[in-house]
Amino acid sequence: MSNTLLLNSFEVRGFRVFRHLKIERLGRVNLITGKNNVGKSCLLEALWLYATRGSLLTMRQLLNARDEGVREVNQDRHITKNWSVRNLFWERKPLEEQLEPMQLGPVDLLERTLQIEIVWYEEQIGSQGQRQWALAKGQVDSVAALPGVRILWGNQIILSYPFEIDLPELSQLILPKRFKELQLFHTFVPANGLSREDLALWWDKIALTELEQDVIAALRLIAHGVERVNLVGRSGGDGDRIPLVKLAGISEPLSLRSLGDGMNRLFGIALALVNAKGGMLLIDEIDNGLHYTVQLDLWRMVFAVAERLNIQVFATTHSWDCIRAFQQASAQDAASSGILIRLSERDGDIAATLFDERRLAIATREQIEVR
Amino acid sequence: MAVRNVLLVEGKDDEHVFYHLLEYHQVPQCFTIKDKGGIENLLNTLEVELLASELQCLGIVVDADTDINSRWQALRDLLTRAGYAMPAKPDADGVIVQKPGKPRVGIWLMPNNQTPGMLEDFVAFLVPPGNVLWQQAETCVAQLPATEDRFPEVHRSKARVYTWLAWQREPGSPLGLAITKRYLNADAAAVRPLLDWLRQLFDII
Repeated sequence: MSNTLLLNSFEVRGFRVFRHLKIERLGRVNLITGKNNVGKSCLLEALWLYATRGSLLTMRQLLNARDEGVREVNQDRHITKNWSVRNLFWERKPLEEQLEPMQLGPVDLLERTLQIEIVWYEEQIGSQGQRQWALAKGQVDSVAALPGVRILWGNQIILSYPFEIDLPELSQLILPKRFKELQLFHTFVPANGLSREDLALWWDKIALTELEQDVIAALRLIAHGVERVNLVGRSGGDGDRIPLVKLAGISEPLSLRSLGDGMNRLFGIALALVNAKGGMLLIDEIDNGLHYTVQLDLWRMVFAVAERLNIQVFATTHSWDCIRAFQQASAQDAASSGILIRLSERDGDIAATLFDERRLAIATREQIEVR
Repeated sequence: MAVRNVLLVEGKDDEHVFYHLLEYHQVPQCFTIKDKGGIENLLNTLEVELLASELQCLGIVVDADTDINSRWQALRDLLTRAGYAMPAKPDADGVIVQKPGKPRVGIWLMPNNQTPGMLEDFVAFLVPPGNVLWQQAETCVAQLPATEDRFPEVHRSKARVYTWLAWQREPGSPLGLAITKRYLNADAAAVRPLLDWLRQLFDII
């Protein structure tokens, strides 16, 4: 393999449905499968949170995406079950019972492990008479104390944050510079697709660069006649820009959406892919809206572009067609390694079973169920 | 649809013998019989078969062939690598191993977990005692000259069984059908340990 991978393995402790999940090996392109509720999306979330090094804004997005950011009726902050951050921790225990930190990182590599722990603060009067929150010492008085999070990278504390403003209400946060330097470059495609804002933002980053060609190539997987694509605002419109395509033999540009849901999905995946250059691409339910005949070509493109632009890809699926297409593309692509990760519940815990290219080829040929 | 219980066999003949034995003994078939198309493929893909989602019990039926020890050792190594604690020798009643968090695994070496041989040697146990044609088939096969096109020595029992089947009331019945047609005696003593092993492996009452 020409490029090294961002992550060769991944271990999760105490996050969402995972008490302890250990994935011993990762490939350049990783497809996550398993039944409903075994945590396919949770694993993407864990990778996302890891990529942003536990950014509070990511935590807020994770909570809001599942409607867990809504404050419960009783707004008394001393009732710790009201703190939404507990939803990110395994078993969602009230914060004072949340003694074990959440840990995300490569297997047995503490210096690249992210740790998020609940800590308690007490109000103190500073030397100039100002009020400030300081880490509580000894026994915590749950009425006077304020919970917060402490984020560690390796054994270094990179952020301490008392929840003066709870995560759901957090609109912006100035992160320390070194915190930002630690973050991994990444893009994320949710199951229901990208927002118009994200599409426009990512298009602007690659417009008129050679990466535009990769996006057009992706659109041609469905509509062979695509010659050009652009995002155009409407005069007097709401400011949103609409993706338009120029097809061979048709003089007027057409709206991308008029060519079907699949085109829109491909456009989003392709933009997220090329924008993840040198980083991590996360795609929830990659096969959504895509006919299986397109999936093999899509995987071929993902494998090739991921290798060329040094991207590590993580996607989820339920579909056997999608896995079969993944297996074929993976077997054909000598440069990139593909790994299928099946999550399943055993004795109350979620565990990962890995299928590398060799195992996946056997499973496909012998019709062994891997989902 | 995930299959919870699977019985891996080497070929079609094994598959049919099992179908007809189960039918005769009215054993509910709560498992899928999977023809692996030969011993090599069965061994090479076993590691992945064990990883099938939702798999609860996996039975493996293979021929002991000429060297029962090396066949047992090959399976033992594969399953040890997959995390199972394997006995040093196969039990006469068939082997069943369990490991928390993994599917239960059973192994049966044809014909009887103790002697070299194959499916046809097991079938030979089902020939009614004192059967005249069976004696004749042995003599007949024994008298064949060792020409180049003759079967190799390891397939002697196979040649005898098929010779015998060729002489039944309806000549040339396949092995499985010979059970249903009662040419072969499915109540023979050799059948019991095999059925007991299957029942235990797949929790059949």
